[in-house]
Amino acid sequence: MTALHPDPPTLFPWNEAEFRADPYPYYERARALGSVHRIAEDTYVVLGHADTMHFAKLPCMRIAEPPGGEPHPWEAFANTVLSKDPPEHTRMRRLTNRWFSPKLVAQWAELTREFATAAFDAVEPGKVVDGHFDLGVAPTHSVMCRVLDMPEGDVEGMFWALWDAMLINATAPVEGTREKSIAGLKFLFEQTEREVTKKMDHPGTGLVDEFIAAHARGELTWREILETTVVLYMSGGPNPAYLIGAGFKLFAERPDVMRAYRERPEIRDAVVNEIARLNPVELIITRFPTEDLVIDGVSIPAGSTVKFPIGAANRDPAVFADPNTFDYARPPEASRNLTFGLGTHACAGQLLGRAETKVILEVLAEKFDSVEIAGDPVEVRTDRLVAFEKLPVVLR
Amino acid sequence: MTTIHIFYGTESGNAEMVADDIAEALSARGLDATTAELCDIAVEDFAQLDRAIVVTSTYGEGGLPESAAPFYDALVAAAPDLSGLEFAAFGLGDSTYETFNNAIDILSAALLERGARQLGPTGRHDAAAATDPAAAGAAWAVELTELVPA
Repeated sequence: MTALHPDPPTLFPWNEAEFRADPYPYYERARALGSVHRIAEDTYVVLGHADTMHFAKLPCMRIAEPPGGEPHPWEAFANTVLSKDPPEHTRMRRLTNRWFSPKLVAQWAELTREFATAAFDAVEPGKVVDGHFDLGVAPTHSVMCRVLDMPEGDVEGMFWALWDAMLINATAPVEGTREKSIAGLKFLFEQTEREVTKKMDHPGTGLVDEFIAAHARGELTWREILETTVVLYMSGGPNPAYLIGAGFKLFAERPDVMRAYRERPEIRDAVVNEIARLNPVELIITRFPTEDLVIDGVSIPAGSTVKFPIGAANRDPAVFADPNTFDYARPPEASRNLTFGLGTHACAGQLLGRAETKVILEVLAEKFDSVEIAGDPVEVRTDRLVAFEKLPVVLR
Repeated sequence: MTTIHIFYGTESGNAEMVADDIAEALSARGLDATTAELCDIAVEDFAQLDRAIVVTSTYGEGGLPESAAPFYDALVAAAPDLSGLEFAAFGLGDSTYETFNNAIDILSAALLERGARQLGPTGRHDAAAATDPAAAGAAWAVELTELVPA
């Protein structure tokens, strides 16, 4: 049995501001000591890319937390893909697969272009605008609303309600987090339930209408449609918006990349992929093995908690040369990152998120010559999630 | 000219894209090609065909995806005589799984067992290689036309 690390809090101080602001030096210091660390009686942290790619998606690695313990606010999503494993997971996942297929995503990409064009046309060159919110969250949220056939609603309210809701998923939530999370969830669910209920009398042609029809046929429970709708409705804006914000920062720091992006369409997928590698939004994949495992010589008993920090895998020097450097020319065997997850729980909206990021940065590069960061960007961060609070930019 | 029927089994739409691109590549060579999902053809009708291409992705731990599994089950249950069928096979998989590209092999084996004849090698796309699956499918289809008389 692997010994508990003598001083786990120094290895991964999950709540420390310095760690949250930049966990990468901590991952590197820990990696120098070993690729798997036992940080609590039954909790392990795995840092290696190859180990993550292999172990995190094994069927015995469950997303559902073993029963027992205090009721958890995130149980609000007990009936979604977020909380289920195969075979129950498959049924829920198939609700959305068809709507985010490569063919349909090509259509959503055209819609993104429409919304992005309108948003960028409203920008006054030389005037400060919030790149993340106005040019990231707004258009991507609008696209998701079209997919679902739901109204845009209080976009900013939902953005911050989601942030509060997710606080409970930090590794070591602080005092007061539970209440904040519950309040955030309440807001999201109330907004969503009101709109879904309206649709029962005024059906549309979106994904939510498909859910409602399935419910009428007895194939889905009310909680199933409500919870899955909340998941899509609330994440359609914030998640891709972080990558888009990171893209703005990239173009500001690297005008050469902005120019190449504009002039060479063939590099755009690689640029988006590399932005994703360096800027994951969700930061840790946590799984609960139902079998004993050995990862890199470390015995992990069934029933443990195994954490795979996405950023650690994404910057593993065994895979990525000069891992902290932005390089869109990495070869295919050194391009696979974990930002959208992997296996059965890989992001259902991955193709959409990538396409939206690609298109919005295209419109940016087409309409403007340069991006300038006009004031300090502000991020909110836990060890589990990150978002931009402010990203003031000037476009010329 | 025999119509080449391309059937795909997909979970999240990738095999559909590949099937479409294979159809386009064949049409560009003057061949008549159509696409349909495996769940949309009855086994009895499939058994009447002279030529087919099957495309499937692999789901979970080596299994067949949503729109291929019912066809496979029906095929095994009905056990039709497929000795009049020539088929080609293309699979989508991910070599970070031990069951890499298993589904196309399961499907091909079932067809061969009923007497069908396979044309050309089984094409395989590997998601780990980060190449475009649709491009891989189209390239394989072009090679197939060089191997096989129309």
